[in-house]
Amino acid sequence: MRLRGGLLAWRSQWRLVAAVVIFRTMVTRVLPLAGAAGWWMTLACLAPGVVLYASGCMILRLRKRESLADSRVLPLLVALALAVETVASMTALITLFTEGVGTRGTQWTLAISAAGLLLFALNREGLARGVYFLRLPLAALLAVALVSLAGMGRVDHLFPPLGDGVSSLLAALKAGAGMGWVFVLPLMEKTPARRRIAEPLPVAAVCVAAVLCLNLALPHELITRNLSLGDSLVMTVAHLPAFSRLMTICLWMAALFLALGSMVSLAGKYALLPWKRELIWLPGTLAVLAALTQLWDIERLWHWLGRAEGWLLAIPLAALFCCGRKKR
Amino acid sequence: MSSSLERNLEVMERLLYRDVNTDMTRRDLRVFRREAAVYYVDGLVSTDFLQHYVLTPCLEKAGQENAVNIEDALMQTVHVADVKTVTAYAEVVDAVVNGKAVLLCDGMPSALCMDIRFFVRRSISPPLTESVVNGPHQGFNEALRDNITLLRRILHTPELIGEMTTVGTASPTNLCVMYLENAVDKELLCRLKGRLARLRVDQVLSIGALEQLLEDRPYALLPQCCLTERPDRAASFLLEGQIVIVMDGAPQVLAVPISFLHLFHTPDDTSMRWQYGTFLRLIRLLGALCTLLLPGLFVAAATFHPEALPVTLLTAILESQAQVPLSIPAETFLMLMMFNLINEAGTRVPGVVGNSLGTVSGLILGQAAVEAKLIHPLLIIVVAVSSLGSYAIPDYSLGMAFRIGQLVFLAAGCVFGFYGIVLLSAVAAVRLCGMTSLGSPFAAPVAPVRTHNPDDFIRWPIWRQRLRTWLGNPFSMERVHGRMRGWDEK
Repeated sequence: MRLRGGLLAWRSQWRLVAAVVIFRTMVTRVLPLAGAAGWWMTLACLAPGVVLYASGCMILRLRKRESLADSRVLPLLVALALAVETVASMTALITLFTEGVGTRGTQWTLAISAAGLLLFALNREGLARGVYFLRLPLAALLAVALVSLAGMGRVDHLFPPLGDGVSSLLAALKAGAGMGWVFVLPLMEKTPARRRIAEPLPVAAVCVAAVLCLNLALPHELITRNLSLGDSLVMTVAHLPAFSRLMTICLWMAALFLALGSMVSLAGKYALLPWKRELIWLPGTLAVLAALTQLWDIERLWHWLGRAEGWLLAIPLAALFCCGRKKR
Repeated sequence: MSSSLERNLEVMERLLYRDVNTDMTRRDLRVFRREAAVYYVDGLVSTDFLQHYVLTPCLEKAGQENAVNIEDALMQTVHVADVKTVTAYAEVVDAVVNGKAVLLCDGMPSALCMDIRFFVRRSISPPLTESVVNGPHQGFNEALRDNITLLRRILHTPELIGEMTTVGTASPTNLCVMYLENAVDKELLCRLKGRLARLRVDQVLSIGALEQLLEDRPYALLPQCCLTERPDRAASFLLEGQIVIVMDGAPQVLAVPISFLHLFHTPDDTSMRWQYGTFLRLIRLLGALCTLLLPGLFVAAATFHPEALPVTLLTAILESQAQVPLSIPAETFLMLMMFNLINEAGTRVPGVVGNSLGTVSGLILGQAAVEAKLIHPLLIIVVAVSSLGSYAIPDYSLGMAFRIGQLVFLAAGCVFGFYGIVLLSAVAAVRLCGMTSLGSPFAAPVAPVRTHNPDDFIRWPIWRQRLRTWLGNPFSMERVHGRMRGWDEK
């Protein structure tokens, strides 16, 4: 039972990270390109990651290995991907604050505040347990948001089903396929082999449902290619009734914040895994470095992050390669 | 020690500072044709017992033939149940200052320590801070022996172990570490004993001080041990496999390890039917949430998110706010500080006067502040409800922690609105889940999940509580085999 507690906490943590990465990528990268086709594009963008994950599971089973944590290169690649996602999520959180909420403070002061809070929250065991503890309140907030969105939904908002055309869809696929890398995370820890194959399904289902609700609520014309980061984040809540909007922004904030903490702590853990070491100050340093990136021009930073995220699908490929190799 | 009484007396006189310590008493006598002396502290021993069971029997044998083994002979002479022989001066001094009488005799290189302690102490009375509707009205007092007896009167089993130890180098304080042999987690017990053994303090004057010296996270706001002045509650901790520390001079005992949820439990919960216990427990939880969040949420809603409030309520707030010179955050802070001031003054002023002071201050100050248009009436309701919530928390330390946390959440609500409160809640949840009590996860069995007795947020029926908590021996978690309601065939 004591092992089960740790396993449940870890599962909640990686699922939160995955959900935040997928939903953020969909809202900020894919939806502006795919428009009304966003909901099924979520499935299309996740498909390569899921296929690579399933292949990885099969090979691990054949090789009788429990996880990929003993690989030498893969933890480093995962740490790198987590670092990229940390910066992207930090940028999204701060932009949501400055443009979505319109609260006091600048991008920089808010980044410092968020990093300060993160430093306070970075607790090796507490973070995973905290995410597990908060899963029900977060799920309740998500239910409020989805019910509100679905309540405003109209089926004709799902048309045209191909969005702005095939070229846009291809661009969306290119922008979104990289998010499938998050399915490498469950391969990094020991999970009961029978359940492993179904691990990504709940996350994928929730994300598809969320994007479907967004598509139902928003007319295709409102989702344009020219949406900035702030606009695309605000778009997810702008049409909701006042109370639901407040709840949804709270959900966004909490989920982004907890995912940020989880990402830096996992990145710190995996970065030193090949050397079997653990530096307790490393996650904090990563959080501070992520906050420092907010000093740059946000548009340029966001552009570069987009290019980096497009390459992240290389990680499941590397994972597949690692699975195929014999255990060291 | 020396065989020469003269030498022993010389050392003892010096060690006990008898030239200035007037209550360190020495009574010289003769026994078996030898010189002897009894040391004791006036007021700590029963002079009747000393007279009848030590001095009289010795004096009766003053002229008898010199015994070969004087130690054995003296053992047979004194009529005291608890007699021990010690051979070091430090042990003799320790025995004297702990209230024992010590008999030294010429030709004996040791001393007889006789436990005839008797001192003024408070009688067993109802607990002052943990009153209940159902259940016994009996609280601990300041005497270690009485408190151990109270526990032994509840738990009639030889498996109830009480290990005596001391803490403090300059003035050692007696402690008793109590646990149930079959229920306790041996690893946790070793950890506690290790911590007690490695304490480097000159003295520990209160059990609260000991708690601070033992807890895992001394900088955390939340208490990580549970203080109780009720023997029935202490016994329930023992039955769950937890460890109880009884300290001399403390009218409460310290239970470790605990979880966050233990701080919301009261003995009433178990005495009452499970539906009532559950209802009260949820009310307490609601009260705690009101204490922590209500002022911050009110300020956040009124300042940052007026769209989230019903129009009529918002209009009422804005209309009354227009006549008030202070901003809503400043008013709220002022009111909370006023409440804390009244509360502290009421606590320090004795008895009935304190209660009256609290009521009168609350009524008069609140009414006057509204009439003077310093605050608006809705705020009084918010502060009153949040204050009532803090009183509903059964653990005093937790109540204090929530009252301090309330100010932090208020600040977050003032600066960032609901979002600040949400982020701070996330941080607080993570910190709570990362805390430990004697190395056990503090937020268990919720996060991380642990097999446990179904007695957490909801007090499930007694007959379903077939397990001990996860804090006890993991290999002996079952309290009973089979059905508790064995008569119930359904």
